[in-house]
Amino acid sequence: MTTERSAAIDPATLMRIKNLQLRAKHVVDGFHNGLHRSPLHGFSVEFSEYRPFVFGDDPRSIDWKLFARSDRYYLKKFEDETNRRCHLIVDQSRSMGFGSLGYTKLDYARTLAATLAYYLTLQRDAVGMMTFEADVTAIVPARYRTGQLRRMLMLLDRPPEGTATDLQKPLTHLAEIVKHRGLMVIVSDFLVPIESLKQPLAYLAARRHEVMLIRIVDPAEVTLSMKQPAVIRDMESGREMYVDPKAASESYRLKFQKHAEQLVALAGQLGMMLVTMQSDEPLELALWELLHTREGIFRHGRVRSSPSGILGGRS
Amino acid sequence: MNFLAPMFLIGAAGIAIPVILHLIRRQAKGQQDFSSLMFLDPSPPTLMQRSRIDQWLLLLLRGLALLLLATAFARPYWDSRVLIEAPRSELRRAILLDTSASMQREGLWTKAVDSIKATLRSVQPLESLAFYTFDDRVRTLVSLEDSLATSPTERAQRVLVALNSVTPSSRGTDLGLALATVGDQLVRTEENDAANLDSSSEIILISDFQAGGQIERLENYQWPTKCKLTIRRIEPSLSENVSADVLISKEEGLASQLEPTKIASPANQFLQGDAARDRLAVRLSSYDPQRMAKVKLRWVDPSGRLIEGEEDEGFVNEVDAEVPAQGSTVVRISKLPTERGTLQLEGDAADFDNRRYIAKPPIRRFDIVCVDREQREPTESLGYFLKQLPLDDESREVRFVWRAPGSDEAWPDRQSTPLMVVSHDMLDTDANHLRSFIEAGGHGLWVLDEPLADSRAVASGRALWQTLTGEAPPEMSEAKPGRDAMFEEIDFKHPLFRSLADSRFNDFTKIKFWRHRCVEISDDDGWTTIAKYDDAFPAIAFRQIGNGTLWLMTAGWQPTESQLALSSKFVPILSAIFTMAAPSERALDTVVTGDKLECLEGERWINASGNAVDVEINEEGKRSIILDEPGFYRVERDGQQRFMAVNLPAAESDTSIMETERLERLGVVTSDANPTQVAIDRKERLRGVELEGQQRIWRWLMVGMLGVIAIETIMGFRAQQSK
Repeated sequence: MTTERSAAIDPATLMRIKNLQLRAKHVVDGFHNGLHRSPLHGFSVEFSEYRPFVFGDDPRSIDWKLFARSDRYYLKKFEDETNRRCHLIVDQSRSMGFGSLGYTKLDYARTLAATLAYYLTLQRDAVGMMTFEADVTAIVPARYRTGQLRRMLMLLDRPPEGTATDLQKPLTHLAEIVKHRGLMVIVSDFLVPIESLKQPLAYLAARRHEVMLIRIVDPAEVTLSMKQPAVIRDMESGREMYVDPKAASESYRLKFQKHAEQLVALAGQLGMMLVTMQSDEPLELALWELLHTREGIFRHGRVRSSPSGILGGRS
Repeated sequence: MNFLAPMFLIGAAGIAIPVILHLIRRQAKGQQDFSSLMFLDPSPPTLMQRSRIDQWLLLLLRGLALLLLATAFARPYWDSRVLIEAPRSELRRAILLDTSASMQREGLWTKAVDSIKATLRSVQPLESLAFYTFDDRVRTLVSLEDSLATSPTERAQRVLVALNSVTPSSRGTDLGLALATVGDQLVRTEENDAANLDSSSEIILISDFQAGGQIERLENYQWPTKCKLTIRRIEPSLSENVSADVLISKEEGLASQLEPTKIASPANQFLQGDAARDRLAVRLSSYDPQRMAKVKLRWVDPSGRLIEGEEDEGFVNEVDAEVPAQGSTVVRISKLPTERGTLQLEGDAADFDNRRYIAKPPIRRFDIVCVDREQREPTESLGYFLKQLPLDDESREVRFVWRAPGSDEAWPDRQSTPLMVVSHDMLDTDANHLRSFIEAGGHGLWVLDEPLADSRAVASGRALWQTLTGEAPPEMSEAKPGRDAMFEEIDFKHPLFRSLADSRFNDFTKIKFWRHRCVEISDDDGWTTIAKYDDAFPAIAFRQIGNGTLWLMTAGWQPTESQLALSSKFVPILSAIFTMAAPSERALDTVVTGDKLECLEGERWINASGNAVDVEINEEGKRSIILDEPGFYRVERDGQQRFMAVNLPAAESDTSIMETERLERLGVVTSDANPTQVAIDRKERLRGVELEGQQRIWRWLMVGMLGVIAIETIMGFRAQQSK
């Protein structure tokens, strides 16, 4: 399953579409074209196998029609993934408002979340959404029903008001309220100390959720693309700092890389999948990664980063 | 070098801006938002290499260009007289400086001197410059002729030297006299210099323009053409002034009639009737247009101490008063208990007129001698009515002496008896004595009060005439009876009738003369007739005999002769004759600075500061002195001394401001109706504009700046290339 990069939609072009749903539809349609499969014949209710009943199996799974015809007990097994619960958790903090490409990381993250939501909805999965800033701002519980997608898109359309990023509270909160196991997709820039992430992510892991971390990075953040010395203002705290790029860029690069490495290490440690997406990368890549999670690969601690990312591709 | 717009020079300070910007540390270009500072280290702002100035020459050139630009915008010009074009016409200028007493007010004199100095600075080379000062007279310090004789560069200096010797005097102001005199001087110089037709003249009047400046004289003055008056009004820092005028005895009645509310002092409200009469009425006038003045009036002696009187007599030596703005009030203070004293006003800022000096004149005693026969009926005699005459006043006491014709008593001397009245009944001896009395300077009044009934009476009359005058007697006769005579052809200009000249009093038709004598005298004989009867014969006449005067009345005033003695005209006429015979001393408050007083030989006058006053002797041998300063003048003669109080003229105290329009109404041509410092500045500025327009230095500065910029551009380009 490979896709041609050229076939992917350029995010800058995509961002010109105002309507979030339309954007998501474009991405998902394009993605399906790449798969050469119709989404209408999806595999969410796909028949898997018949198996003879053995003692101890759940009698609810017995195919009684077959029993009537053959007088034998058979269990009819379906692919389990069809009934997956998926939670999309989107960071709307101020730092996500940074963008050097004409659109911000948040725009990118929203589109990404909308795309995933649309895609999962098409697959008849129960999708929920949560946005957070310093705390949880809104929650749409995971359901599969009419209007669910629209509700989620409305949630994404709300303008962010927050200041700081604090992953600890929302994740802890989420771990408390989501009882059923499911897929947690956390879309954030993770610009917080790694130590503060350890505990909440460990909670989620302990609840046996499958967690996928999508880290959004702006190209300017990777390289600290400043030419002139300037006073840099922290978008979250408002703190100002005089920065001369000549003196600071090397140190920045090292620290940024170290942070990324720490995050990779943490994800590996907790058995989570980490995808680093630069905001100029096509969104289809995220869908690819989602499919991988569905195949259960993440259980082995799979980490992927964009080819241009600092980790130099998939690990 | 001067600048028309010096404000633009501030722009030259802009030179510093690039230097400062260059030298201070490099500031960040701007502010950028960034997602997080967690990977960033603060980098300390560093001094850049470029903080050092390495392109000195470029910097200097740029600075020079800015400087030239700023200077060009400031429009410079050279204010050198050498550069000025000579004026086309010649200007005669006369500076006329007010030195009257009111100029002693605080700050006025300095301002006046400054104003003159400012004028002198603007003098052009071909101007001639005269300098006059005035108070109640005009003094020429530098005349136009003097100025023309001086080299042009030294003219202003000459005025300046003269100015240093001038101080304000203690005299009144006669602005009219000053303007007329100086105007005449300018006209005369112009006429002498008729060749120069283009000449014009200007009088620069520097004065405080007090309303008491007396410009009435200009009413009859033809203001010279081509002459303009430039007014420089000197504004006093304090406009308030209060003056005190003693309401002298004649006006006391008037003052006491003033409404009680006008008498401001509470102490005065209890003064009634006689008590008020014992007090001296003093009018306090304020010339402050805004505020009510609170002043204190007190009697001080010449050494400045408060005069103490006897308290049980209710002596008031100090009065507080409030004088309304631009108004006056009358206060009463006790009459002077001593011979002389000063009414001092306290609480008034303008000090120059705060003292009124008052010296009581010595009371003189006179006799009036009447040579007449006692009649059976007293009213038929001249002396009866003469005795009733109220000739006494504050300065004299007059005693009536009856003397029988031909009496052996010693004849009175002229000093104690200024006037003798003789009737037709006098004897030849009396006539002889009278003649010598008159020749010595006395006055004799001969009243022909008996009818010339027959030729014997006529003869005796002619004989007396012969004795008295020493000349051939004229024809004398009795007027035809049956027709009452009246006065006619009265000379109201003569002192005898002057007081009756007013139309309210000049009706003499009610005085009938039942009989009178017809004496044929004429002006050729030395007689002056001042009243005639309606039959053209003289009624009252006089002539000089020796040093004295012989008066002649051709009818008696007693009721048997006429209605004169019973008419209201009798007292004024006889008083006038007596006053002419014994001139009274100058009245209490009327001797003012600037007055010229006749003085007798042997008198020595010492002024208030203790210096002897120079006596002027004119061509006729008359001696006079000029009173220059206020205060008590001491007059010494024959070991005796008396004091005379000399005060400032009352008008000088009127410091309210005269409207200059009044001058224009009197025909004076002013060059600026409302002269202010602003106007002078504007003139200076216009001159600057003219000079600047001629010189146009800014063009050269702009050319220079463009040159500098060209060099700078080339150098900058090269510097860029070498990099």
